[in-house]
Amino acid sequence: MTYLDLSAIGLRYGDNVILDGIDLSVEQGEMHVLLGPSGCGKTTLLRSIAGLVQPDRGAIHLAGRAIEMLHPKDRGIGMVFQHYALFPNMTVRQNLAFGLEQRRLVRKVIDEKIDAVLEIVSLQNKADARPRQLSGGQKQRVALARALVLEPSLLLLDEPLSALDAQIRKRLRDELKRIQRRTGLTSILVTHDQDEALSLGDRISVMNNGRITQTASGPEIFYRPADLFVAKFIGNANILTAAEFSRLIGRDFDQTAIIHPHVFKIGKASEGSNLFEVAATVVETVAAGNVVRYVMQANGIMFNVEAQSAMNEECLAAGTGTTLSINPSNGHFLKEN
Amino acid sequence: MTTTRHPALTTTLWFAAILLLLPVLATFLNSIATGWTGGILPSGLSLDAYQTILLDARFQSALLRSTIVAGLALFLACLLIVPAVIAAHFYWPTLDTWMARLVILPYAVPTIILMVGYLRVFSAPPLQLGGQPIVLVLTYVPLCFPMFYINVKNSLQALDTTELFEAGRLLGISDARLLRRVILPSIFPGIALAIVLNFAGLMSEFVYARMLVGGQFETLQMYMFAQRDLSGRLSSVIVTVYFLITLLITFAAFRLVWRTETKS
Ligand SMILES: Nc1ncnc2c1ncn2[C@@H]1O[C@H](COP(=O)(O)OP(=O)(O)O)[C@@H](O)[C@H]1O
Ligand SMILES: [Mg+2]
Repeated sequence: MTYLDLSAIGLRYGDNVILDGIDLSVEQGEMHVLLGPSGCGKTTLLRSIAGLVQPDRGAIHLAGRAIEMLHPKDRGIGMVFQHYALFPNMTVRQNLAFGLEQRRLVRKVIDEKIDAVLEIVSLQNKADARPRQLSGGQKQRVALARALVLEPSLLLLDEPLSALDAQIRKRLRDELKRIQRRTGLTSILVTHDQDEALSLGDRISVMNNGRITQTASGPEIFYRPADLFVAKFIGNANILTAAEFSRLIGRDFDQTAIIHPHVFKIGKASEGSNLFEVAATVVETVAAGNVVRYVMQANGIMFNVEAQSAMNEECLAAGTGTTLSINPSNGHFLKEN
Repeated sequence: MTTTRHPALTTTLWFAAILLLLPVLATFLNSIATGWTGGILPSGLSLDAYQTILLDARFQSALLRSTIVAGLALFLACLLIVPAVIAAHFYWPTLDTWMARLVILPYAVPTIILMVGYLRVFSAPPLQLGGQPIVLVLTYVPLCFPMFYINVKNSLQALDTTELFEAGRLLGISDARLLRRVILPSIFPGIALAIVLNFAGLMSEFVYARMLVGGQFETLQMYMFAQRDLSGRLSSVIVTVYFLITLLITFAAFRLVWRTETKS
């Protein structure tokens, strides 16, 4: 059942259309990822849902209730801000307590709630630290805890990992997923990083220029992008126009081909199969751990090929000729317009 | 935070610190010397000069006047300037641009022109107060403006105030409450710094005091000026005392900042 439903959300600043009719449904307990380039309106959409900006049009329903006219605090929404937005003069415990105190809860209840949520984010021993004494990852977890402690119906996360360095980022990503699973909290996470989107999202909505271009599961988005924008934004697939693909396979073809580098197989196709065979030359070789990345050329077309490396096997040197086979059912094709 | 050791840098910093302290130390030494001629060090030491100065009723009242005027001016400045800067920061960006331009005014416009302006303002209604000590207080308030503006503004910019207010709204905390509980405590160190710097400046102010209020209201600097012919020793004592007072205020302010930082 749809838990959060956005319909035709529109917002403009002056003449700039920032949100151009956003429709989105999120299921209960889902981790939904909004993926899109910087400036496409992701933050604005989150802020509209939270009630921090008022969209010009559209309706928002959360758990069956129309919330678009409610004050932010009455929407039951928690938000983790891009730059944490922790209260710098307060300890971690005070940061978490501030919102609870507004609800006139008994001190003992407040303390219990805080302890429980600090346990979830593994920060029990930092309760009395101040934000400036915490690392970036710890601050991020405090921000998460501050949103969780109010037991929201919906959690919004605006690029929660983008300010962290690569290693912590990956660790916190897994932890975020674990916490979301454990709490079962319906969440919308914004990112411009496709790896993050693919590894975190139950479903992903790709945004461009204030519109959602595709909403689907990670593998679906990855292998079957709805249009060229999504194809270019996700993954590093070879995008070959109909003309280029025709030249590559030496046969007439009328659609844009999206072929992931690992779909090209090095070696001849087995006897009697309907795979295409292409004679190619290696232009460049990069051996990166368990995969080898090649740039190859065939019939004047350049493209990327990726193969598994093996311990006792040499990879192909630049200049070597080889045969590639392509299984067309592993490619994705878009009508040209 | 990690501290890395750079021997060359450490040496340079110590050298600079000693160099900067040298005049202060020399002044202090002069203030306690009984005679100091023809040698690198004084011939004898005594605190007699301090007794002379500190027990001088004229010195005491000069010190009191300067402290009261500076204190009143700073009090008014806190009351008027700080809320204005905060309000402009949040609600009136255009006003804020003008404030940023006004910052250089006291430095860019020659004192003599400001002085003439002040004299005219205070010689006609509605502020016909010419020569009264309150004129000095009212003159000092705008002089404090740049330091307050720069420090408060810097502190505000260091905070991501938009996100803080939004975070507050989602938590059900009103803007006024967030301002009181989060923004003000966070910019307090900046305000304290502005107070200390301005206090030091006002205590050593001479020109405005002399020109606007004149002889009947002797401030610390005017007292020092009057004593200039007496002896170098007495002047040194006054300077040392003045330096110690400023130091004391600075420490008090930093203690206060430190206490609010660890308490709140
Ligand atoms: N308050 C505002 N006034 C005018 N334009 C804005 C405002 N907030 C955001 N924008 C514009 O809206 C667009 C989308 O911004 P944003 O939602 O922050 O993008 P994203 O989070 O995807 O990077 C940007 O072009 C930005 O300049
Ligand atoms: Mg953003």
